[in-house]
Amino acid sequence: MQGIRRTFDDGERRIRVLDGLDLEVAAGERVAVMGASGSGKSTLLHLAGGMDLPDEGSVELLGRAIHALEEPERTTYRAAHIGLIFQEHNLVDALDARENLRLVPWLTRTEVDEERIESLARALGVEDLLDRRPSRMSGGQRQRVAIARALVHAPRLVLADEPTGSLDQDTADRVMDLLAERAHDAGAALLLATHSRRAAERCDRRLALRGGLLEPLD
Amino acid sequence: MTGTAGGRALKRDLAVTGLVLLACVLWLAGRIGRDDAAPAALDSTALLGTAPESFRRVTGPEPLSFPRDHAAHPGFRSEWWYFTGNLFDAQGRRYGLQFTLFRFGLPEDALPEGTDFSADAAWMAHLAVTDVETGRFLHRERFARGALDLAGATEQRWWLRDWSARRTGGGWRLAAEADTFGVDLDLRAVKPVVLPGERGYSRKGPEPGNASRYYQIPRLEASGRLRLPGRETVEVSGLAWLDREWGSSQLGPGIAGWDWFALQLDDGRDLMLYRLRTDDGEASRFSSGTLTEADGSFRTLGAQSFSLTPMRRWTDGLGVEWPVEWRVRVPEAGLDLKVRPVMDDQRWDASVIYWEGAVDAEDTESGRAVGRGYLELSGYR
Amino acid sequence: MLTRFVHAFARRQPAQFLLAVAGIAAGIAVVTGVALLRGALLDSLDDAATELAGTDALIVRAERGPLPVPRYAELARMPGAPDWVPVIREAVRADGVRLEAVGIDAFSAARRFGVDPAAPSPAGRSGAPAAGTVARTDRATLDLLGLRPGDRLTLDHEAGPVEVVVQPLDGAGPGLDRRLVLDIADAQAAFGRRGTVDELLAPASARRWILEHLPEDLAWRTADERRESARQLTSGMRANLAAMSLLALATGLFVVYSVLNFLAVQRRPLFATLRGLGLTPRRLAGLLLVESLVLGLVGSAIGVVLGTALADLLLALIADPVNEIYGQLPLARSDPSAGLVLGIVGAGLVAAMLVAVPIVREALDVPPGRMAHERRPPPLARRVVPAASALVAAGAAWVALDARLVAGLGGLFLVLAGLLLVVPALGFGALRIAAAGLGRSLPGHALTLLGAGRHRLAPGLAALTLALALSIGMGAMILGFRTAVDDWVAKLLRADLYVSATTGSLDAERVERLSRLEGVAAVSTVRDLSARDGTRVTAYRLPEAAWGGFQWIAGDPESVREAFLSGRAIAVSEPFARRRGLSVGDELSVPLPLGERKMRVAGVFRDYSTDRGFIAVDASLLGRARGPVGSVGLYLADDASRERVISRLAEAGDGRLDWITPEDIRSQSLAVFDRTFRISWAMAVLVACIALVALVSALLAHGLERAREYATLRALGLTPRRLGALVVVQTLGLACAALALAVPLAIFVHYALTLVIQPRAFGWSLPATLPPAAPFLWVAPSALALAALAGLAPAWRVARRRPAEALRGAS
Repeated sequence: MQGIRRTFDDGERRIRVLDGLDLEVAAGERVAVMGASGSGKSTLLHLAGGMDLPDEGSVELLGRAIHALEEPERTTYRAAHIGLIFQEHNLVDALDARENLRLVPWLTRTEVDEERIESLARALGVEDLLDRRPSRMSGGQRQRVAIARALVHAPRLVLADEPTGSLDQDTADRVMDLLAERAHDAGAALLLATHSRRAAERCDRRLALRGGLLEPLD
Repeated sequence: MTGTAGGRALKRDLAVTGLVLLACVLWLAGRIGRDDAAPAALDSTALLGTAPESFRRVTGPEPLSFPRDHAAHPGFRSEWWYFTGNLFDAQGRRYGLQFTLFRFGLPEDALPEGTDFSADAAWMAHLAVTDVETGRFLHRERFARGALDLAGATEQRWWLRDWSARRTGGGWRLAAEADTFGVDLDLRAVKPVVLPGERGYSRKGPEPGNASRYYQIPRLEASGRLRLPGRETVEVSGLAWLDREWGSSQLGPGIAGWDWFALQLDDGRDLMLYRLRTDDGEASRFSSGTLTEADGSFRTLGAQSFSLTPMRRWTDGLGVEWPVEWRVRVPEAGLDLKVRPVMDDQRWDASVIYWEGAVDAEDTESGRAVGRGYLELSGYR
Repeated sequence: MLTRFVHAFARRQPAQFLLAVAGIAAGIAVVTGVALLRGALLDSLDDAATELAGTDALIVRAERGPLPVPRYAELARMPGAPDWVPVIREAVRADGVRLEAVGIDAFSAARRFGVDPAAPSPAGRSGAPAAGTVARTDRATLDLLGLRPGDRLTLDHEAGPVEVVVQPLDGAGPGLDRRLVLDIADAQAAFGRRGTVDELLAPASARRWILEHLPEDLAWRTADERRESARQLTSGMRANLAAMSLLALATGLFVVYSVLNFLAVQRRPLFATLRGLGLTPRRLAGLLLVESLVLGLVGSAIGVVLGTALADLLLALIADPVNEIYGQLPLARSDPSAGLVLGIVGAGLVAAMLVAVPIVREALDVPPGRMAHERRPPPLARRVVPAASALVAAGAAWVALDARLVAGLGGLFLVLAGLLLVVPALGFGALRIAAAGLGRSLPGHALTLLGAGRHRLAPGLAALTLALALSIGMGAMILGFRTAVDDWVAKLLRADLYVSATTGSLDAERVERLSRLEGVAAVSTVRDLSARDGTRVTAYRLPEAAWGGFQWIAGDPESVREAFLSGRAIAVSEPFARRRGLSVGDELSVPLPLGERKMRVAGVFRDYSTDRGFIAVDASLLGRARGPVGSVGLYLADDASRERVISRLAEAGDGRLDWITPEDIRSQSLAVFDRTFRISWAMAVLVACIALVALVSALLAHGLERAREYATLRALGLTPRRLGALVVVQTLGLACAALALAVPLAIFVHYALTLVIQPRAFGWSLPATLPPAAPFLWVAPSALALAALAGLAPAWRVARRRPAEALRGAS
């Protein structure tokens, strides 16, 4: 990501959230972005995933400038190469866990690898929950299924926006461990937005988002 | 709170909602209920005030001839046959009586062809009995068009449908039945015809045409039967009065109404007085009266020779004040009377609203009862 | 402060609040419109007598024909006689509007119709003779005719045009709607009526005198009795209208429920927060109730206004058929009373409150402070099947055990309610099966996701299904009925030509001459006799060929014919048999000119000409009193040409004969039929409009509720176009489910109306044919097209936004 600027208009004034920000994440690298609430972490992730477009600057993924892609290529490209984990509402309530895991292959029109689903479920300790609906799971269980879903199609990059934000400390630690490990196992880079230092410690690199720019932490 | 943007928006939205509701309510209010204003009552003063040119006018004295002039006088705008009376039954209970036939002439040039209902006049009859004992004022109004013999007045008979006054040897036989009450009376004249005004030419305004032809029989002996609601037929007897008048546009301009007195005194004299009230409530100079002696001789009383002073007013259900009690002074006849109604509510509630009721007359000084009669109040609103 | 919350929320979802208002308004509008229409059909039905002679006026008529004026004059002078109001009634038209000219003796009337002796002249004429005949009417009728006081109006009367000057009749009640009051002298002159009057009105107080003194040859009845018979005449029509309006209201309430319910769901986080902050359950309940009250109030007020306008529209549609069929004049415009309006608004508020109760209960279950997950209700089917079965059974039992119309409608209502209870379960079951069948394709996923929202969508689906079923079922019934009438008329008319007199009737000699006309093989005659009690007897003289025209519902055709022709028995029309509870073999006292006679009913025949019904007798029963006949059917010889016979008729008739071919009668009958059923069509269209509101509200609710899900799917990689397809598949799926369920329900409604309601309302049965396909073919594609359109809007909105925006907006 290079020279990213993004401004929001809340009707009364313009807020410059990102102001010429640069970020490069290497393959397999785990990067944590920290910052106060409203510092622009989510926006950074949305831009990285092509869910939002920068006013200025460029976003490249695996050598393709996704900001320049038109719909529906941008969406398809995202679906194929990026895994997403949100703080909440990751899963589609209407579908049980297994169906949720099949959702991304369906969206990317790829074959469902049932074995991979099983093994991921085992690796994340949710193999017994596969037939349950999200509404009947605990928060930690839901986030573990969400990690599985983010990894099910072997993405090159996982974007995680406060994945442990609504969990208690112990559960958060466990989920974060799993996320960091499994992403690494799957060979995916991880871009983590969090305000939790404990979560950030699982990453290879920690950055702070301040005044619309990134600066290294530590 | 109210100062914030949200507060303002709230106020605005509430106002919009309120306006929508108000618009609905107003629209519905316009649609709900037909205009149910009752047709206005006839104005008795207006009835007598004007008449189209095509009607004849009473412009000066003319000799009257009987029985010819008992019959209707076509060509005039209005005419009436007016009986009033004070009656008693064997137990001494007091009753008031009124029977009136009104004729309103219609312009003859507007009569349609090809119909059975062509009429030269509209007729109205009023029958009232005041039952003092029970405090009831029984009254009934009927109409008929002057066609198909539904109503009329000849030398021998005055009638509207089945209500009639037939001429007998010495007077009239009056028979009229309403739903709940009725009268059947023999009326025998005990005095000859009296001609008020100038030999029956009764001027009521400045124009020569502001006048009526007027005759009266101020004393008739009445005997017969009354039918009253919830009671057997009662035999009654007493004194009655006949007033006959016709003309066109008899009231002059600026007249609001009139107060009319017909008093039969115990000493055998009969006194008729009327005060024409101007719009200011003053007595018009055309107010007049007639005093008939016991022997039937009579003389006209000018406006200056008597005074009528309201002493008490009665307020009816509509809020109209009727001066029902009076002081009547006729110095030249030696009369200073207090006239009191036998009961207050003797107001007609029909097409024409007026007060017509039985009264007692007493000597103001001594308080002694000296006679009875009828009082008519018109033009009050 | 609480108001602020609600308001802030309303501003965020204005569409939802407007939809709730629209739902209430639509339901209330239909109820109001129909209630007013019922009143308009009834209140004025011969209320003129009340206007003219006071409440409970009595009406005196001659046994037959008008009353000679000398009779009136004689009656008027009888001792103790009431103040009769002589009346002349003449049918006239003004600019195509049917009116009644009423000539009265204004001097006798209870009201004074401009009779003011002080005015230059009485009723009828105003001052200058040149001003012409004055016709007075109420303001509503002036508005209807687009006239102002003093305007001239030409009345079309059979005797020729009549010029009048219209004047308002202030203070007139609705009884004078569509009536022009003239002075009786003017009326006699204008309509050539010298010598007679039609009736005499008397005040209620005259009853005793009339009982004791009214001459034998005069008949009397009260205006109330007359109104009562009109009430009975139109009861079928009115009951149908009432039932339809209640169904419309029920549909509207479904819409309101689904909208309010959706609003409550959307605000669960807000409620949780407020509860956490210390809002007591009581205040939360109050808040929600006040909210539905406000919605109910605004919706009801708008609904009443719309309904009043609607009633006026419907009135314009039905005024002519009502006049044609029942001989009654409806009001010039609907006449809402304050009581009715308040009652309806009150009912609207109560309905809104009732609908809010389950929503409030659910909102109170939201635990304070945190976002609770929805409780999972038990599967729909398990809860509703017992209730549904009970409702259906109760409805069926009511219909079976009680033969009245009200039972038919009530039973239908219950059965429909029962069936509707299982509609959501069935609909979503079908969608689930469809989703499974479609597998992992986009439609399959779309339908799976749709199924997840079934609890929210259930009321909308039920409303949509009901509305579709009703509009289709009604349309099918009307078309089926029309076909039945067409068949009946076609079969009935056996003659080649029908001849009648231009005015009056045909005497025996003329009939004889017609039968001798060259080319005429046989004639049939029809003579209508009406007895004093209103029983209609029709005397037929029928040739061989005419017999096939009767369709016998009961009785063996051959034996009926034999008994009928020999004068030993009679036949009755189906409505007559049903009204009197007659069947073949029963004895009936038949009023004939020669006196009453007990006769056996030999057969019951199909008839749609009058729902009062009539008795058919052979002309031989009239004996010598055969008298003039109303119409003559000519049966031509095989080799005769109709054209030639017509030209001979023209010669022989010297302008005093009218003739019509069976084809023309048939097309005229269908025209009358179509006019009569305009109101039913209008109702079907209204219900269809409510279906539209139901559809849009269900889909909008669905679209808004699923916004979060759509956003997630977008983020995970669903392209805008596929998302659009997904949403459209969902709306189409919903519409398809509703349609699929509506079709059997519509067939049920069709048969219920045809086989139960029609016979009970009008006395005639309809052949139980298959429902015509046309209404299905009209409604289904339009419903699907609308569903697709309704889906495109939210789909476009979701697809247009960047996923990040959608996520932010939906969280």
